[in-house]
Amino acid sequence: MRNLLQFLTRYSNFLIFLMLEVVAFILICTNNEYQQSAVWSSANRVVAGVEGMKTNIVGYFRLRTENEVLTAENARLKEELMWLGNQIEEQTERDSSYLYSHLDWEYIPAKVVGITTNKQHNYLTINKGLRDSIEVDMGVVGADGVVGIVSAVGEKYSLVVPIIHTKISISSRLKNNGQIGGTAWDGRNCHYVNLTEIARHIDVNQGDTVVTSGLTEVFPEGVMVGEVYETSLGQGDNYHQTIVKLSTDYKSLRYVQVLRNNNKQPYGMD
Amino acid sequence: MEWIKQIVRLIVVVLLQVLLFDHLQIAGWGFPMVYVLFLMNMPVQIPRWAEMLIGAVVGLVFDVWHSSIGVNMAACVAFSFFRPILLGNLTQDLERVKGEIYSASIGRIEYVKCLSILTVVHHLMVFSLEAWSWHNWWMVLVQTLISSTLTILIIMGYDIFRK
Repeated sequence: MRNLLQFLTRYSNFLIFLMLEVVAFILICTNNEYQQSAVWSSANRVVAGVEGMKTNIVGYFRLRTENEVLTAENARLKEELMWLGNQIEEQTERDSSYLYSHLDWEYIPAKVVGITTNKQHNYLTINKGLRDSIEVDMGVVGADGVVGIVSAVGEKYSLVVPIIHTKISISSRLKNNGQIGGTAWDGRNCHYVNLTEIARHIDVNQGDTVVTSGLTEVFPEGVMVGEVYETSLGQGDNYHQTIVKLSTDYKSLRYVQVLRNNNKQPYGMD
Repeated sequence: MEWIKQIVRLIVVVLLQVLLFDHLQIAGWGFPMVYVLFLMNMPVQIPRWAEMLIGAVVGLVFDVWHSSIGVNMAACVAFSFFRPILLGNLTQDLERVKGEIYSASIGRIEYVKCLSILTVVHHLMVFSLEAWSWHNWWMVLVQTLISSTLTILIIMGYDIFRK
């Protein structure tokens, strides 16, 4: 007993240091979404539940703004619907393959209950999970365009890797000339990503629209990614250095839709 | 009176960090964390356990502000734990030093050495814990170097100015 007391007295500072560091690590693992997901490798039900409750409370006080956003989105969708109707009538044959490709997709609405934008590995948590038929590798879009890809699914919540994550790249194309490249984030500004693999002989201009290529089974063709913000070409470069301003503002993202591809090929069946 | 002075100083440091230094982003590659000045200048006579507890509280204050609970706390506790050890090793006649630690009280070279090592350790811990993986280790190191340089320059500027 005396030895134990002597030991505790002698190393008391180091023990306090260890204890405080352990407390800090527990706080990190229980209060930060990214670290939490890295530790448990799945969406955490309790934290997401608390986040959901917090979002519900905050959301109640933002109903007026939400209504305005939804009204504006409704108006835009109506316009789009009318435009599509006209297009179908006028160009049935030419557009049929594109239209059918979109009919193969099912949209599952979800609410964002947690999001980070200031890390290199950002994540967002949505309030739909296994019981809503959400699966890993499903695409996620918002009112303004591409958001990310589902990376982990819990019973009621799912974890989404957004484009603003340094380990994700999304196959995209320039809308005006159909050139295909990849969009990836460099970990700096959450409003901009890089568009790569656009060859030097291709004409790229500021303001060009960038959309999904439709080459993968995650997103349909033509979902908005953003607009070319800046492009440059050095003398020896074979590819354009293109910066794209994302159409999705992650800082104000509240509602998303998860995309179910009904024509998805099971693994091993090409 | 001493503890009132320290509380006022902490409030000033918090406000300066949150309102000014948090916004000095170098293209997303880092920003100065000048609040370590508060921990660096603490009186040398303070018990080590109290120093670590103060470090934990200061870290938690910034964690709440930065929405990164635990990250700054871990780094500040480490800063407070290693400070007396470094001061003891780098400074001769530490016993004669009374009150707060400045370059004038322990010598400029010793102060810079101590501040630099502690700042790099602190910043490395903050950026490593935020990244939570060594996949982009070079990015963590670059952020640490840029932010540490800025922090040290600003603190040394203040140290010279306060003379």
